[in-house]
Amino acid sequence: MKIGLLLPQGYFSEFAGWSPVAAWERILEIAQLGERLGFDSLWTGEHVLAKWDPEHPVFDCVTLHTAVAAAVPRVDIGFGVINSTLRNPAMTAKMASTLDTISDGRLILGLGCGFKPSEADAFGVAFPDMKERLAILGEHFEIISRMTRRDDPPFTFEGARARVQDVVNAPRTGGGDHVRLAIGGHGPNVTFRLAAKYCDEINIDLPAESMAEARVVLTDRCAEIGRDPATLRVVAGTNPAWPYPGLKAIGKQRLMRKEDLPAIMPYDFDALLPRADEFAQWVELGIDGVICGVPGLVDTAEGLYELIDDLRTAGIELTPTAATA
Amino acid sequence: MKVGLVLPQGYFNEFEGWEPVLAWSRIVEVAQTAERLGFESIWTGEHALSKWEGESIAFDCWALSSGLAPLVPRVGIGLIVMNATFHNGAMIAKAASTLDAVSGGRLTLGLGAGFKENEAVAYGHPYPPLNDRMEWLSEQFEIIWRATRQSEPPFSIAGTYARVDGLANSPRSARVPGVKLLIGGHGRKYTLRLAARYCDELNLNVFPDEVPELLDVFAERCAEIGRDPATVELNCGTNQIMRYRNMKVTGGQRFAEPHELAYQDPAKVAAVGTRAEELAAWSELGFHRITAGIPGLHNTDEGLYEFIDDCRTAGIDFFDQPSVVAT
Repeated sequence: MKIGLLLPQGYFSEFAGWSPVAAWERILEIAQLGERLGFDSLWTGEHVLAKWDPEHPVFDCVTLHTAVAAAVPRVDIGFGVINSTLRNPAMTAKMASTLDTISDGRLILGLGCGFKPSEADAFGVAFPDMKERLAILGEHFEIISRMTRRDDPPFTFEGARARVQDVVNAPRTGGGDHVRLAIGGHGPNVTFRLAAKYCDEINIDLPAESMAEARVVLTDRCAEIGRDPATLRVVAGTNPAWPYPGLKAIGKQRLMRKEDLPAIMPYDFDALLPRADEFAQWVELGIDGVICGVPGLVDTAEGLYELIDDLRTAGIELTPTAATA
Repeated sequence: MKVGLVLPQGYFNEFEGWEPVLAWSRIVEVAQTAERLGFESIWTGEHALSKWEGESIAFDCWALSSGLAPLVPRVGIGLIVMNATFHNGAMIAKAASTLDAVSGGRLTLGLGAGFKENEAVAYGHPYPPLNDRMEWLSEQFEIIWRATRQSEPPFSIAGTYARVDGLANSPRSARVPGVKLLIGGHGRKYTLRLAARYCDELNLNVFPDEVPELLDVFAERCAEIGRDPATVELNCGTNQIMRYRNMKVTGGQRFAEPHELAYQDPAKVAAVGTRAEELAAWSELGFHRITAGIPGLHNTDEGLYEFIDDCRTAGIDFFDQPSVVAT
C-alpha cells in the first residue's frame, strides 16, 4: 500500500496569524521531512478560501506544489484535487505538462468540480447545480486527458461548456506516455464513469464499511468500457481535521465537529474508529493507497511520528530514505 | 541600471525536438548561472504556443516561475507578461500572492491583454478586438491590484468581463505594501493609464527614439490622477530574436525577419544598430531596468558573456549591483 502525505496549506486555518513567508518555509520543511521519512507522495488540494475564516491564509495549490516539486526531488506530486471549474481546462493541461516536466514525470493531476459556492461566488465563477458541474468536469477531463497524452495529435473539441480548436500542447508530458489523472468522490454514475474512462487513480471518500460496495460498482463501470479494473488504483484518505479517537499530537489544529462536515461527505463522527483501526480495514480491503492528512503539522512534526506508529499498528511500514540536499 | 534576464522557455522554438526534462534542466542552469553572474532578476512570459510553426515546446510561465523560485533563491522573479485574458483575475491574484510568499517577496507580476489570436482560439478563450481586450485587462488590473494590497479590505466588482463578490484573498502578499505589478506596451489610452494607476513598473516595448514622447504622455497620465511618475520604474528590453549588428554569439537561435516582430516598424528592425548602442541609449534615457532577452541561451552560456561585454561598452556594469534583492 502506497502512503501519501497531505501538506498543510491553510484550509483548516493552520496558518492563522502566520507571515506568508514563514508559512511557506514550514510547508517546505514538512514536505522534505515527509520524503525523508518514506512517504511515497505529497499532496495538496484546491481551496481558495479557508474553511472557517476567509481572512486566514490559504495558498494556491498549483503554485505551492510546483515549488515543492522543484525542491523535493523524489516523491510523487499529487493534487487531491484541483477545482477544475475555477480554471480554463486547456490552461490546466498546459500547466500540468510543465509541472510533469519539472517533476520528471511525478505528477498525479486530480480534478474535481468544487463543492463550495462561497469560493465560486467570491472568485467570480459560476456555481451551477451538481449535475451541471459534473458535466463541466466531464468536458474538462476530455480536453485535459487528450492534451496530456504524449502521442495524441492536435484536436478540436467543441463542448457545450468548454472548447479547444486544433490545440497543440507541447510538451504534452514530462516524458512518460501520459500525465497521470485522478478524480475524487464516490458518485456511482458520473464520478465512477469518469474514473473508468480517464483516470489512473480514484480517491474514494467513503468510510471503510461502504468501500467494498463502491468498488463493486467501480468494477462494473470499468467493465462497461472494457477496462481492466486492476489498472485503476483506489485510494482512501484521512482528514487532518477529523477527531479520530485517541489522537495525541494535534498541535494547535482546530478539529472539525459534526456540524462542520459538508453535506457531500457521508461520515458519522460518532462512529469514527481510531486511525490505526481505519488503516487496518483499508489493508484488509486491499486499497491501493492512503493519502494522510495529519493534524498540527505546522506546529509540530510529532503528528508524523504518531501517524507512522498508527500505520505500523496496521502492518504498514514506511522506509525512510536518505536526506536530499 | 538593474539588469534582468529573460529565460528561454520555448516560445522562439528554442527547444524544438528537445526532451522536455532536458529543456527544464537547461532553463534552471541558465537561471542559476544568471544569478551567480549578477543579473538581479529572471523573467518568463506567457505563450501557449511557440511563435513559429511546428509542435515546439512552449512551457507554462507560471509553473516555470513557481518551480524556479526555490531553486534560484536570491534574484527577482518576474512575469513579462502574463496574458490576463487567459485566466480568472481573482485566481491570478491568489496564485500571485502564493508565489510572492514562496519567493520571499521577490515577485513582479506583469500583465497584458494578449496579442496572438491563434493562441486564444486554440485554447478556447474569447479574443475580442483590442479595445475590448484592454477593457478586460483594466478590470483584471483592478481586481488583482486590490486583491494583492495588504491594506485593502474584501471587495466586490461586477465588470463586463470579470467579477468578484466579497473577495478576500489571504495572504495578499509577502512584500509590503503588495505584490509588485508591471504592465508592458506603449498604448497611450489604456496601457499608460493602467501603468499610472496600478503599476510599480512600466515596460516600454519600443525603440529608444520613440521613448521621450511616450514619457511625456505618461507624465500626463500620472498627473491626471496625482501620481508622481518617478514612483514608476521604467523597464526596457533587448529582444533575443533581434539581429543586432555585429552580434557574434547566436547559439543556433532562429532570428526574426524584420516583419516578424510583433510591435516594431520593420524598417527600424532592419536598420537596427549594435546592442551596446541600444543599451547606452536606454541608460541615457534613465531606464531603471533592462529585461534582457539573449539569443542562443538554450545552447550556450556564451551569449551571457557577450551581453555583459555590451553592457560594459555601454557604461552599465551590473556587477556593481548587489545580487541580493531587498524583500
